Amino acid sequence: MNNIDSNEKLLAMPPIAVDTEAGLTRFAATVERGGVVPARVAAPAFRFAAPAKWLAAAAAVVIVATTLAMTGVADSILQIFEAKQFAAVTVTPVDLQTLGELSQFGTLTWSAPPQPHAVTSLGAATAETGLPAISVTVPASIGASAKYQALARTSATFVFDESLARASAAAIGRTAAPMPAKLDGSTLAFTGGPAIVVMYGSGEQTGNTLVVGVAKAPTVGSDGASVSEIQAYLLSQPSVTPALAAQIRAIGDPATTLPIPIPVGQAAAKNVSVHGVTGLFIGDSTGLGSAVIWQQNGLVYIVGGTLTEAEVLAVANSLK
Amino acid sequence: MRLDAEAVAVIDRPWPRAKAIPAAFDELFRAEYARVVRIAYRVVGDQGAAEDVAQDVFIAYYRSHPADAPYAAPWLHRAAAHTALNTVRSRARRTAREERDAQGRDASADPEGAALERERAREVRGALARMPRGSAELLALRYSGLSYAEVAAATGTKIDQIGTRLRRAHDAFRREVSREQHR
Repeated sequence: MNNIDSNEKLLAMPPIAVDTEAGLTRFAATVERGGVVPARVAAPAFRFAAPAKWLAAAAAVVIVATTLAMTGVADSILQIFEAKQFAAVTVTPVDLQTLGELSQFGTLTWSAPPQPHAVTSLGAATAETGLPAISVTVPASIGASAKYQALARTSATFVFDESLARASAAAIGRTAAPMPAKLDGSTLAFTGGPAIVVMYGSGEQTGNTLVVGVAKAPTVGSDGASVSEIQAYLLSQPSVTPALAAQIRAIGDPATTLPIPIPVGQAAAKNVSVHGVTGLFIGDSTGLGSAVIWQQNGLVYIVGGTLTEAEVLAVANSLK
Repeated sequence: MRLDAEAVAVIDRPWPRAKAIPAAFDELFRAEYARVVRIAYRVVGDQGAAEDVAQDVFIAYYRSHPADAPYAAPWLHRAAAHTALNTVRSRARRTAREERDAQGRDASADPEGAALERERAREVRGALARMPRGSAELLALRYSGLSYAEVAAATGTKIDQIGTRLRRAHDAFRREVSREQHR
């Protein structure tokens, strides 16, 4: 008996009856219970109406950029990134549609999904997170009532998976660059939080809001894939446009710079000085709002709202 | 909540149990679920585990890809084989205690036959887990009933190369089975 015959005998399995209706019922229940959102059918144009998708694309930009930071090979997870400064990376509607989610390169697994939740006071938020209390001078245009949210420290691992990358490239009618054997199955470890968010004016009739947040700077670790392998692989993917790749390559210090995706035409960004350090100001080009983000002593701060540039910077500089 | 064409289509559907699922995805699920289960079953050797794999695969697809994409079926097939192999690989690390527990549960009328079948399934799973992943996926796809053309689409291989690749996969599988038998 040749190999094929004997293998076929071994691989033969008793037939099974598959209940598709039961499978669909279970699937629908999982989708409803977990709030799983389907991928959008290719959108004709970029819309802000899909923040989850935008955030996913932003996360993809971040992973592409932060993995460039790997400068060594190690046998165990080593920290290779900590957000100390921020750089605007302009993303186009094409980027947003083709970058998709992290799942195009592998599998992201949360140790526990981030679950921001309301707390009764700033004191409760600081007690829960261990972060210092924050306070700002609230502009007169914003209602003084405040709501507080806390987020525990969360972590996630991302495992590169060649077969998913190949299928995802096929999704845009392209062929994926081959994933180096060493990269397939290698792990990145992300940590984020804890964080506190204070929202002023939300729910009030003026519609003017101010959000002030503080979080421990996010980090990324690697179990040893080399920087050259990851950089060459990710930036050569068909889903990363040459323009985006060039912007990411141009980031001066990738080990400490968190790229912030800015949708082209929707917002503009520039460096500003906040508390004596360099922060990134992002202004909505419609004039409806703006935000500033900066890092100081291992903590990331963000102030944003329905404010002008001068107002948002004044609030940021009033933060204690 | 945005009420778009998909949502309207869902409201109009005749299947009330799947009302949360867009119509196009519902159709994709109905068309491919059984095949995805069978691909996974070929690898994991257990229907319940294969159904778990199929659920994971469809959830992953649902999150990231449009239901009417031309690559939907090949993607699902490949992901079924891939995810099932991940399951088998993690199972291969099961402890000896768990193996003994499994044996203890086999109080069937034909304990000897059950033991032989369990041994055969263990050999097959072990071989699939250890052999090169691409070859193992190829065998799983082909022996779950996919045509050469479907296997080619799922693996991104030219159809005229499938025969050669399958022969190599068979050789690799046989080597791993022999190794397993001599352990």
